[in-house]
Amino acid sequence: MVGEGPGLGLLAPEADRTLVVLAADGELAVALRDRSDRSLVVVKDARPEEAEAVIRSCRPWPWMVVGAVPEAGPAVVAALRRPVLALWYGCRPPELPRHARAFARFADLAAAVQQALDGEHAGMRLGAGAGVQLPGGRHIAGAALQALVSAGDRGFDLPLGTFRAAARSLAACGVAARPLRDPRTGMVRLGPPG
Amino acid sequence: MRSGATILLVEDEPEQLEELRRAMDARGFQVVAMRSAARAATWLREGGGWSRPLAAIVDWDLRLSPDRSVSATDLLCVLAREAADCLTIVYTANADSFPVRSDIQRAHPRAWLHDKRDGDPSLLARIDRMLDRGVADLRVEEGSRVVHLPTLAQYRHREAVRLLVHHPGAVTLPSDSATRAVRRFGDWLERRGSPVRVVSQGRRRYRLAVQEGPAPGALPESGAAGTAEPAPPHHLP
Repeated sequence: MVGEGPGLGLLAPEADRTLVVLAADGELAVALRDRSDRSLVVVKDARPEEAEAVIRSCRPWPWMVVGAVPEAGPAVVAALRRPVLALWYGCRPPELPRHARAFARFADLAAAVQQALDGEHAGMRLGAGAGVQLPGGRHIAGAALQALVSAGDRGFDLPLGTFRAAARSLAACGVAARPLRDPRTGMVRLGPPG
Repeated sequence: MRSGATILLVEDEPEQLEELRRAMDARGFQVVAMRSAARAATWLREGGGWSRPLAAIVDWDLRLSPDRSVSATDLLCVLAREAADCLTIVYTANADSFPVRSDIQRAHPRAWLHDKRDGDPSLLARIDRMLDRGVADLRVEEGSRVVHLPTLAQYRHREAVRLLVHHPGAVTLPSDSATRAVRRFGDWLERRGSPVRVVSQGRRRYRLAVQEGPAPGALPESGAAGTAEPAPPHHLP
């Protein structure tokens, strides 16, 4: 342990829902952690050079990445090929997918994080720890499904096939929802069953 | 050997360590009190599942520690890696300092911060609040046993206590024997007609779930039942 150095606790594998904050210092992560319900999300405060290792520690992948750096970097770009919410503070790097959102003010960014935590669709909400809670208390695991619930109508600019497991879970649990491509925006979001 | 939940205390000032140890001991906990982060880290790493504490209280400033080869930061990293479900409180007189808060958060993303200037009574009250948990007709008592309120039957096992303390979140069990203990706890709940069920999430992760409506064969309540869905443990006042 001696020589492991500080900060490596954030590389511990985390099976609960994670918010990875990518910034040059810890100010943004501390501020977001102060505002977030810790039963719903674990905030991991990463520097740009740690991005790959921190993202890898989130099982199966981060719920959200919040960036405050001018370049997203290859690890973040690769992570965002999965259903990961992406919010940026300041200028939005061009390599981010279409569903990534940028904010000039911290208050707006924090509100967007809160809105994602409060996401609701067909009675589904984020459950404590990870997964989605159904009305009546039933719990469905699934990182893609919780991402869809959090994304709301904005959805993801990803192939519909990315959400196959979420569609199966919803059908198996008899939830009146399915992932679909919104013909208006071209994004994949939850909608009524076909 | 007592079966009370284990609390790890790391404090470099001997008098304060002794004071906290006595206060925790009086609450029925099995207290592991150490003056150095090095010893605590060794204990966590070598003790296996048996040394997994329910909670840890770590002084951020360990300058008076007899062995300073391992810092509080390093110890928090070990806790984050080896005992992720342990409720970890870091107490410091610099709780307002942004760099301190950032360092603690990076060392242990789940750690709680407590202001040392509020004094030991405040810290102890916080621990009491964190461990004073009820789920439907179950309650944790003295951090060491689960009581089924309608029958006053008791179940003494640290993993059962851990499940209640972390409800509605899940805990990851460290061994097959812990998994068996949790399954036995599930059977125990069923026999008592509790609406609480032990739910597996796979990969040794378990959580409690509360069934809606009266459980089949439920015993009459004594009127002292806990709330159906209490606030999660992380909502601390």
